[in-house]
Amino acid sequence: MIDPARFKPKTVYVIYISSTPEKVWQALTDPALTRQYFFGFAIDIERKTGGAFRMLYRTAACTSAAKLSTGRRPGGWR
Amino acid sequence: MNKPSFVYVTYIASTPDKVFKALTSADATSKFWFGNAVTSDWKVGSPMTFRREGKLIVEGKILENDPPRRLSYTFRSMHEPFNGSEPASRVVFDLEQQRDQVKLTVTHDDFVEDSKVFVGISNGWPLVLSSLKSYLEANRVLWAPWYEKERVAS
Repeated sequence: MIDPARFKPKTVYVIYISSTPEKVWQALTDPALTRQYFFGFAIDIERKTGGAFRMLYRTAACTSAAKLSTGRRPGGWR
Repeated sequence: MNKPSFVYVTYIASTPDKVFKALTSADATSKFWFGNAVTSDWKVGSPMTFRREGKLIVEGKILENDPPRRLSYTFRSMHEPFNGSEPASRVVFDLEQQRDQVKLTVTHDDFVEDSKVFVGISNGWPLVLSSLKSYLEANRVLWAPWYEKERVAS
C-alpha cells in the first residue's frame, strides 16, 4: 500500500497488458508494429540515449520529434 | 479542501451492451474482477454488494441505471484495512459507442478529505479496467498482485 501522506496524484496513465516486457518494448519501438496500432504512424527512433525520435505518417512527413531522454531496455539499446 | 477524484478512460473493442453487461454481472465480475462478484437488482436506490470468497468487499446503492450508457453507484470499502471506516464514495461509468468500439470513462469521486480509500482505488481501477478490456477483447483476465500476496501470507 502506498503511503497516503506521500501520495501525489500525477497525470500518468497506467495500463496492464497480458504480455511480456520484451513484446511491449518491441511494439513501442518497431515501426512495422507502431504502424498497425498507431493509426499508420511509423516510429523512427535512433536507438541510443539522446538519439532522435520521430513519428512519421505514411511518407516522410515529420509530425512529431523529440530527443530520447532515457532508454532502459534490458541489455541496452541495440 | 482536498477532495480528490479519480478519472480513468479506456477504449474497448466491444459494444456498450457487452461492457454494461460485464459490469453488472456477478459471473463476469468474478472472472475479470479477481473473484469479486457483484450483486444487485440494479434498481435506483437498491443495494449493491461485491463479495469475494463469501466476504463483503464493497457495499453501495444504485444511483443511476441507464443501460447501456450510464451506471452509477455509491461505493463503501468494507474490506481490510478500511472495514467501512470511511463513508461511501461514488462511482460513475459512462459508456460511449464509437462505431465498433466503446469509450469507457470511470469517474470515482465524492471522497472525504485525505481519503485513504482514494489511494487504494487509484491503484485498483487501472488493473480492474485493464482486466475488463482483456476479458471482453480476448477472453483473458489479469490477476491482482495484492491477492497473491494475501495467499502467500495466509
